[in-house]
Amino acid sequence: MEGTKNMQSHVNVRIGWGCLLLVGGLLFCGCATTSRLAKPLGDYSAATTDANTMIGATLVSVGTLDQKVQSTPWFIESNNLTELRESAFSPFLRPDDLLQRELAAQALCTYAAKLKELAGINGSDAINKSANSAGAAINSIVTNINQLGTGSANAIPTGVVSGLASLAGNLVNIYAAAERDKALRQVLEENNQIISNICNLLADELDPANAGFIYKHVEHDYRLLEENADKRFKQATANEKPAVVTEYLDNLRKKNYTLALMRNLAVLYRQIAETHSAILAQSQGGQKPDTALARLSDDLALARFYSSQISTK
Amino acid sequence: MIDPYIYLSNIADDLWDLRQQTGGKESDQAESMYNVLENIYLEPFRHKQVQSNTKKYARLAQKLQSDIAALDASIKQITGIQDKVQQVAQYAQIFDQIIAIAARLA
Repeated sequence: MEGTKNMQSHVNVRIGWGCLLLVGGLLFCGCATTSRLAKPLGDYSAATTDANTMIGATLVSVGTLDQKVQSTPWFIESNNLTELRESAFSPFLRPDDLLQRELAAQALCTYAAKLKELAGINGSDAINKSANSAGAAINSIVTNINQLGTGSANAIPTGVVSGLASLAGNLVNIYAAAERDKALRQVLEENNQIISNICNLLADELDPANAGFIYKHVEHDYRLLEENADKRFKQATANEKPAVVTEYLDNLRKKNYTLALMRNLAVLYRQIAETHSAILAQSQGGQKPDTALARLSDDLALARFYSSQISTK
Repeated sequence: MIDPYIYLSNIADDLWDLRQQTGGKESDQAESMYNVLENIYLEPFRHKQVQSNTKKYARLAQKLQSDIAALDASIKQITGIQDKVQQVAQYAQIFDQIIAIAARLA
């Protein structure tokens, strides 16, 4: 009888320790289930949103600039405009050209936001909560086992079902976190090339190093405005000259900031592509994308500055 | 290999610089050459290339949109798993209460 009791007590102690280890393990897993990509993807999503706002405004401003050029005496004379017809004014960026670029930049944003959302499904709070309740439930199970072992008549199995459900829940949460990490890695891998293609296409059009089509067009537009102001200045009276100079300097300032913004946006979009690759590398077990994110943040700050100078003055 | 477009763009830039740095006839000549190069050759080429790129953007954006739809499905699936866990936990608590009541009755 004594031997049976000792054995029962020994079994109970082992169950107790086993349960404590299990709770400890689950708590540990609970902490570890927060996606390590959540922070970089949060920053990445914020950067793509900001870049999208700025590139949208920049592309729209090309149309406004074209209008300015097309209403100059130079344009009217060189195109022999004697009457106004739509065909005489072909915009550099047609509505569809503008729309497709904006849709691509917007898709980048949405994609980054969805990645952030996926990484944000960490359930860490739920898991920790479940783990804590599991701990309480396991203690209750141990108490019940002890009571049953000592032949107590009040052996009400409180919390047994929820304890087991919590255990199962924890395992499922861990499974869900593993599925999430797998899905993240897969999505990053599958889209790395397409993100790179979109970003590089946007960057190429704005990059003076490649004589980017949009960059060079805008530069040419501003030069035409300068030529136009120069001609008017030469013909102006002494009283008229200051106004022409003011207009000339205003355009010069806008040109410098707009072109600086475009150069910067080109760098920014290349950086967005590089950061995506860096986050992918981290998802595959590589280094953290800290350097890439820091550069992205710097480029973003510069773009914000240029953008503010154009819009506020 | 030299890209003719970049090469001509560089020449246009040089002509513009010449226009800026000189005066009189020389400046006018540089401006005239710059305008011919830009307006007759470079601008139409840029225009055409931008329109050609528009098709590339459309294809890329469409591809990314379909990948976003797949990404959305993953989010729903994983969120769904966790919702089920919460439901099971709630059902389990109800079972516990039933068991506790049954034990008291016994």
